[in-house]
Amino acid sequence: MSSASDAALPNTSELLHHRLLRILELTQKLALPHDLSGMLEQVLEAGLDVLQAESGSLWLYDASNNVINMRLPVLASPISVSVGQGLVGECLATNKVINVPDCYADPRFNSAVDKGTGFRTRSLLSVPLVGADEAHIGVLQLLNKRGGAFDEADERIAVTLAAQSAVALQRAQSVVAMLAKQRQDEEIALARDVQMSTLPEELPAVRDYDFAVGFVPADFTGGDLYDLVEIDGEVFILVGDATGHGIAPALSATQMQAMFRVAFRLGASLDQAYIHVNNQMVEDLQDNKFLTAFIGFLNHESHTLRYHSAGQGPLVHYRAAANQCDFHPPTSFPVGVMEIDEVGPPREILLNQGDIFAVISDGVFEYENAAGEQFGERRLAELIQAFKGHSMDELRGAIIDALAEFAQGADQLDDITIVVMRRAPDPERQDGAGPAMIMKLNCARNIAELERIVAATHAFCEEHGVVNEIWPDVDFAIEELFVNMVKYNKDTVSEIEISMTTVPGGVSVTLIDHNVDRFDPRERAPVDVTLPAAQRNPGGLGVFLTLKLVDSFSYDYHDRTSTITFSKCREARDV
Amino acid sequence: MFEIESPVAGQVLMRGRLDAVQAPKAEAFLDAVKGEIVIDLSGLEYISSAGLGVLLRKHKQLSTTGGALQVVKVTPHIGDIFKYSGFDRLFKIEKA
Repeated sequence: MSSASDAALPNTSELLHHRLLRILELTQKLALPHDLSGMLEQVLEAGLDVLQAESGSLWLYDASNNVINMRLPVLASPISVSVGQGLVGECLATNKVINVPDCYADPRFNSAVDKGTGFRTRSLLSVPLVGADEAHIGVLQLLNKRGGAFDEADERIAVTLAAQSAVALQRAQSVVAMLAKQRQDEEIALARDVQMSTLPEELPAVRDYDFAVGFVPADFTGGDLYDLVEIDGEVFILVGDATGHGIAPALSATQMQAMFRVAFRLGASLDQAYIHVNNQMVEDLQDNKFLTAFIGFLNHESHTLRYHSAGQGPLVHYRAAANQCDFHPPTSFPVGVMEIDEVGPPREILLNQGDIFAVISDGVFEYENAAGEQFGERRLAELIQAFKGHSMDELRGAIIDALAEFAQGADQLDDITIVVMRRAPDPERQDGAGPAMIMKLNCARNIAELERIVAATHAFCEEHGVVNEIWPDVDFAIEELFVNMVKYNKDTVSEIEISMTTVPGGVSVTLIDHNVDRFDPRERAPVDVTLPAAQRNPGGLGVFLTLKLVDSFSYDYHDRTSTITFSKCREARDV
Repeated sequence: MFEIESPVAGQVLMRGRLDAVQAPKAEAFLDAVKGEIVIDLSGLEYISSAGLGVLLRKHKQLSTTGGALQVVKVTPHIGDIFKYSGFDRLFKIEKA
């Protein structure tokens, strides 16, 4: 423990003079640049000297944990007390000096420290260190005044000393905190640079498709990422968001992106890559961390987008034919939550001409304005509808502008990531022609419904000038798919929904079957049309021919609902 | 609308749409026709896999006695369906 070297001074005015000089000297010293622990030593030393104490201690308040830690003397096992606990705790809590002339007579005195050190405390003076704005800084405690107990004059001088010290300590503490923050910011900025350097510099150039990406990181926070790259003739799309802020999420996001790229370059399937990357992230991430991820492939020949979306949603599909936005939920829980051995089939969406698909981070949907209102889905849907005829670059810009206008000055708290893609619209319809026509039909699960289906679809095609040459192929596909649904799902009574939409040069047809098991017609064994008659049977022929006759075909299974969409246009058949 | 008839022995006429709803009717009719037949498809607008199944069944029946089905006056669309399904390898198909 520190102890004062000077003996008690005889004369009162000399003593006062000495004390004031010593406080001035301390003030001067504390004004010099010091490290915090050096300053603490100065304060305690001056306290012992000015108040003629044999020993003393210095305590600092830790606001984040709401405890008071003894900083001097430095003990092998650090001592902390709660605010309000013991003499130190009470002194800090009340901001009042506590003068105890006989410690062992005061029940608030804790003799445990004496027992540990062998020091015997007689008298005690606890002085609160109070900073600007009445901020708690700590407590200076002085023990055993030479030649008696601490008196009122001591209390007054102690308060003066404490006031000078507290302001200097407060300033030093904020410098320390600022430096730590600055160092952390620099590290985060560095991590962000690493992350940004892995984002694609150029977007894939693919016939019929227009892509745009927007990435607006929040200041030194967030862990969003995206990737958009052509792999083996398809466009790989990744949008991810790691939980938390700072270096760790930025690195997790980058790690995930790198793993996916390598997996796909090595020829892994979408399902395999998803399972393995997820399981690796489970191993690597802390228990309370995870990432959301949209992982998809766009096939620009078949115009299908198939994806897994681990906690990333809503996903937006603008259907040009209906001039409407569909919001799709994630397909699964986030990456890194728990290990998985298998995964359901990817979702599959058919992009018709003029359709837009958008993967947008929650930094957009959950952007809060000054009134505490969120940007939400409706505003986004309206923007997409308003910009359906513009380039995706313009749509991206419009979303970012709309967010800024919506915010009304509210800070951006999360990264903003926008990946938008549009299949080229029909050039004939770019003059602002209205939306395509739609027909919907609900059918009982009975083959006899075919007559009604044919009557309705033909009337629709007639009315909207769909070229006659494709009618038989469309009829064929609808009949085969409808009959399959009726035949293979006998346990359900739900109606089968059939809708037909005009698309340039033809139609797009969707069949929706509820409450059924999964059945992707494309997974049926192909029919060998070269076999002799004795080995042929009609099974499977319908689906086989349907896939040959239509231009595009997609199957999606979700919530026990099968959705099949195909399109047929007047172009020559591909046989 | 689907119609099937045999105006003279050995000849069958089909008209209209041979889909899953009409296939049982066509099948019963052809089962009842004995001996070699030539089916005239000039009036057939549409055939689905159910209709193809009916023709395959008749061809198999005829094959057991060394015979074969013959279809004539096939329109381009129906001809394509026969080609994609490999039926042009099984029995004689004559285009319109």
